[in-house]
Amino acid sequence: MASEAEQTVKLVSSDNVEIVTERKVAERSMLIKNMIEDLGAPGEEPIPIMNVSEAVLRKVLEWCTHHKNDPAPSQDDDADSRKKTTDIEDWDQKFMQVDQEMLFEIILAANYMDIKALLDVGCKTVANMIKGKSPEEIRKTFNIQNDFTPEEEDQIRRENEWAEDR
Amino acid sequence: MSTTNARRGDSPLKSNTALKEGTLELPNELIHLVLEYLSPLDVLSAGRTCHHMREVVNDQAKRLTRLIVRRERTRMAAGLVMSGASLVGAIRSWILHHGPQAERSFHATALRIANNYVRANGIDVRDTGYRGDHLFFARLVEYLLHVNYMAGHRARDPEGEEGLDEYALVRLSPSTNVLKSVARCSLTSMESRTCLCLLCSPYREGICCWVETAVVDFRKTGWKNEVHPLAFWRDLSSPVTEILVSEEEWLDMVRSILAESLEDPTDKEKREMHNALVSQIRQGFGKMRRDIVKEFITLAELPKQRRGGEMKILIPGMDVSKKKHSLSLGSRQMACETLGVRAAKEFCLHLGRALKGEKKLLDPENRYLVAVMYEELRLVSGEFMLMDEYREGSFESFLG
Repeated sequence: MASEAEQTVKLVSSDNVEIVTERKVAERSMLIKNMIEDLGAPGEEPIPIMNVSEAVLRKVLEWCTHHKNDPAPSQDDDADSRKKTTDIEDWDQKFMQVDQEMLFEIILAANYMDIKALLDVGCKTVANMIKGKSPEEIRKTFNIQNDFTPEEEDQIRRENEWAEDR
Repeated sequence: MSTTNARRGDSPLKSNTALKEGTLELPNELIHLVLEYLSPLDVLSAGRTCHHMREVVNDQAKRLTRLIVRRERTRMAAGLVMSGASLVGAIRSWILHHGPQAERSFHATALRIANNYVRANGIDVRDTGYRGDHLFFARLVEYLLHVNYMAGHRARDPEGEEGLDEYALVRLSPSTNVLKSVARCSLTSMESRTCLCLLCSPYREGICCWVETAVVDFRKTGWKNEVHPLAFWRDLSSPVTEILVSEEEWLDMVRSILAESLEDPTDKEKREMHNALVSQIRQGFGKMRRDIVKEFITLAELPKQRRGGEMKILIPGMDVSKKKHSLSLGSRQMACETLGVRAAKEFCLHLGRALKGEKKLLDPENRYLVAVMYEELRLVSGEFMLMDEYREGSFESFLG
């Protein structure tokens, strides 16, 4: 029987593509880790990843492969993340240089697959896209339609005057 | 926080590329995660993009309030000399440790703290959009300290006419634990208020409220229509919190955050704190003999005044022969209700003396007297008159 390090698992994307990967890589996802533990026989039963397409799943697995040796997140890490720095390490920054659609898909996939670290990286990336921008620039970035009436805008502007002065 | 079951709502945060297809969007829960990485200002900017984002931001009102208050607390704490205590504790200590000079004018003290704060952080307190200068922040500090310099000036003659129409003096009644506004001008009748200051915990309401605090002047100096400078933080967070967080809830939140301990003091800091305190004590009592200081601290009876010249202790306002404090009611209240009680308590506690149970001076029920004396001793320490033989003692020997 293969050692745990050599074990592989089969993942099936939402578009029904089977992807084989190292168990260690796949277990960066708490969703998959729990499923493997529940199934008890990794590698035999394909694990369906219902909400993630093949392209996104491969991208997620790429991230998991790079980070497969990272220490498992602890409670303390979770508390630390509250410090909320938006620093992203170089490799992750390059990894996240994708179009917005893929970026959002990765975030959703990380959320679904319960990969906290990837989710954090994704959220930080979006946060960095918002940081320092005016409302109009944010609208432009994300193609958000301004549905405020002029009166509402005026009111909000007054409310936020203190912020604009900075 | 589990994020695995986030729902996709009618989210505005859609990718530009996918928007045309109308398929991709981030659920609110994930937008919240994104917002957590943003500064409050950026969050507000995001909230100004559209109705939906505004609602999402409002969902985070409490979190945002915490962020803002925490940030301000950190900034303030950084500007204070002390660390290792809560912000409120640090301010109290700051006042105590900077003793006589600073306490002569509470306003000056507040200004000093404000200046420290500003210098240490490179923050311009004008940037909140209100008028003014550091007074803006100083007034907040004053309020935190339960001190208002105008009240200090005017309380000496609380019934006087001059200038009082600008102020309402607020006083806590110890019997009812309710703040009562003594009407001056616009407020023409007694008015009950709940104490909203930060030094009063909800559970110890009234303990430190025995002060006179001008409230109306805050309103006149840029606090909008608020009656207390907590509006500083309230206003900062109001764009997203005013609807969803009640005043009481918000105050509790602020209190809890401000009362949180900063990092524990290091030994070095403890030593500095001790030295700072001792130096102030030395300064205040350095010319006094040990037994006199002890008498004073333990609230023992004052030594008898000997008119023959052997010993003479002058405490302004005190008629020793009649054992009666002759300060006017106004100035007595003013002195009692400002820093004196706290300062005296902390001072005595530091030296291992408890106020309670000690021999009382003059009025057995007058728990304020020591505070009055303490204040006055410091204020007039330069004028203390002692006979030569009593000048020989040193405070070091007393402490030793």
